[in-house]
Amino acid sequence: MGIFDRIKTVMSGKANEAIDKWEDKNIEVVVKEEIRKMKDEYRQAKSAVNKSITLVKEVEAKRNEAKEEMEHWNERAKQALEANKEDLARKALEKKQEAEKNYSKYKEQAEARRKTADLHKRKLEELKEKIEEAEDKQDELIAEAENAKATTEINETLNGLGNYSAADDLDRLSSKVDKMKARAEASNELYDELEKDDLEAEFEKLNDNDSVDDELAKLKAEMGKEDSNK
Amino acid sequence: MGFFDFLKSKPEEKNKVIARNPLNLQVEDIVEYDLVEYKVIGKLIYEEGGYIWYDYHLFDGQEHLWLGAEDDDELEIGLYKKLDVNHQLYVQLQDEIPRKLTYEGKDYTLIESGNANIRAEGRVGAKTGQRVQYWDYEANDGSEISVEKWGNELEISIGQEVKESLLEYYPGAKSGE
Repeated sequence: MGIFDRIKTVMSGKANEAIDKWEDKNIEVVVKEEIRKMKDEYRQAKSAVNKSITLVKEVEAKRNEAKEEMEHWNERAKQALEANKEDLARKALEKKQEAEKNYSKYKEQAEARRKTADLHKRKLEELKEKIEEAEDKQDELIAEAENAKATTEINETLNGLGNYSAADDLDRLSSKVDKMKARAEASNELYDELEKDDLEAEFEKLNDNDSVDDELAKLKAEMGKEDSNK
Repeated sequence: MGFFDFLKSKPEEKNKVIARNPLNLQVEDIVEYDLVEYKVIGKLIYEEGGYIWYDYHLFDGQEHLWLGAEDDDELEIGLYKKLDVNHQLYVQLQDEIPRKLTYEGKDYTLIESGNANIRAEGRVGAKTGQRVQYWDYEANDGSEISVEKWGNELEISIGQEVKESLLEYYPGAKSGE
């Protein structure tokens, strides 16, 4: 599967499938890794473009050399004619024609190689655009995949596929509250009992006090003393 | 065979291609500027007090240019052309290096000077271990004049600041740093 196909799998909503395939891998790591691989390929491709441009330059250098040679022999032919040396002029023109043939050959090759190099550069540009597109959509891709993951988890919870259920917790909480209520009621009863006991003790105490007063009055009468309470 | 098939048919290379920037270009890389492709045919590494900057010798088959790059707070890139040795500026600067100079009606001010150690690669007309004295002039519009003294020989280059976004690099056979 190509880099883009893999990223598109995530984008086209097949995130779950992709997550399954990549097992426990973090989706963010996966997307970033894919972009990194694309960048590696881009650098490799740039190096290949260097080769195609170098091939153009090499043949262009030969073409320029051939052109200079043509001009050189043309000049020599003129000089020979001016000096009325026709044979020499003929030889110079033969050399010129040889150079001309080479010039045409290299010119043709240079044009063909230039076309190839330009095509490679266009392909490289396309690759660059794809990387930029993937980088722009990186956050979107990660968010979509994370969302899909979250949806799966929620669905699993709702379907009761997991061992844990939130309803159990509610039950536990409810019974806890019941217990607390029961305990509170029990403590109220205990308090009532305690309060009753306290009152009785007070009254008993009150009775105790009355008997002391009686005895005091009796003693005073015996001693001929006037009772101050009267 | 298509372009990408050609790429994929190659066995896994030991050295992955390292992305190029103006501070790690290598001899044999191709630099494209204003739609012209130049081959890096030489590289000069300048060092002064631990500070490093670069000059790359570029050739497009007809014209020779020098691409200067330094990371001084921000990346500074300039494209220079050697001034013809018969220019009167050579005579003017041979005896004295002024604070200000005029070239083609434009005023330039000396902004930097010093001595640097040289590391040389490829075709640069210099050798590793050489020292160079330099003076950098700048005009208001960003035009630059670089003056270098190699031994007793002066080298003057006229240049212009270049935006990095206008440069494209195609790495060559050397893996890069």
